[in-house]
Amino acid sequence: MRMCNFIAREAIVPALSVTAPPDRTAAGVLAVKEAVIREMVGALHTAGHLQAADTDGVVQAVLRREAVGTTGIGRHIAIPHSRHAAVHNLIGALGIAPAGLPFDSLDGLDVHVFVLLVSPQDRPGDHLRALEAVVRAMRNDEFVAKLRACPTADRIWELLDSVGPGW
Amino acid sequence: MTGWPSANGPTREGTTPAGTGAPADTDTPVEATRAVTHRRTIRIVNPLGLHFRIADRFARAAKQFACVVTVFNGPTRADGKNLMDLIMLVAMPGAEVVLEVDGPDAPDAVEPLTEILASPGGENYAI
Repeated sequence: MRMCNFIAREAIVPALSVTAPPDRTAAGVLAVKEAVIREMVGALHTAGHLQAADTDGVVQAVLRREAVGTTGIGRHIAIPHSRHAAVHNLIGALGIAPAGLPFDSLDGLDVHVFVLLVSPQDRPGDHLRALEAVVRAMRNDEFVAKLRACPTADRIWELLDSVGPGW
Repeated sequence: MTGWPSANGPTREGTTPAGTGAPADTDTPVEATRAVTHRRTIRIVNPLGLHFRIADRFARAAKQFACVVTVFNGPTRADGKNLMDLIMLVAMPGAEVVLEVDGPDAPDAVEPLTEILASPGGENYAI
């Protein structure tokens, strides 16, 4: 599986509007998490992959998942995700935070690249394969550097599209 | 350790004295102070497979031990202390993975690590 198989082209946010809080308190980090997740779920809605009535439920589901363990996997990457009945196919959004955002990452580093995944209730295989595709790509420092340097959603999409399944 | 470890037959468990290089095929007891390789074949019964949270829990637990922890899913090999590696195993529900722990505290590590991989799921979270 390739990232462009499940990232919605119209749900790529080259510069998230969320800004880092002045302090790094737990409440501040939680507020960042909610804002990032809400913006990315909103992007999926705008792209036509989620109904307006489902967006808040998806945001809450992703936040509940985040509450049981961070999805900030380190190396400036986070993969917030959840299953939800609102989707029938795995769908993802990608967002870049140029200045970095605190996300409770495993390595303590701010996150620059967010990949949000929403999976159907009954497709664990797709979810595992998508996670693998994201991790495989994000382990490549050159790829991540290029991704962070992309100025537009189109350039990000072109980069995702250039990545083969073997990465 | 080299190559892909074979499953250990019906016992599904084995130990190998360090440095022998031989595949495990018995439950040979060893002295606690000797470095040994413990190997177990474990079926992933969690209906969500080896998902993110289980992988995270496993990596955190593995880091509590000094021994080298490796998990294999077919030919794919993961450092058991590395969450990204474990995610890349793509261990589906029903998959049989091989857990290999190698080092002085391997006997202490094998049971709790096996328990995590073999957990049946039913957790109240969304992958």
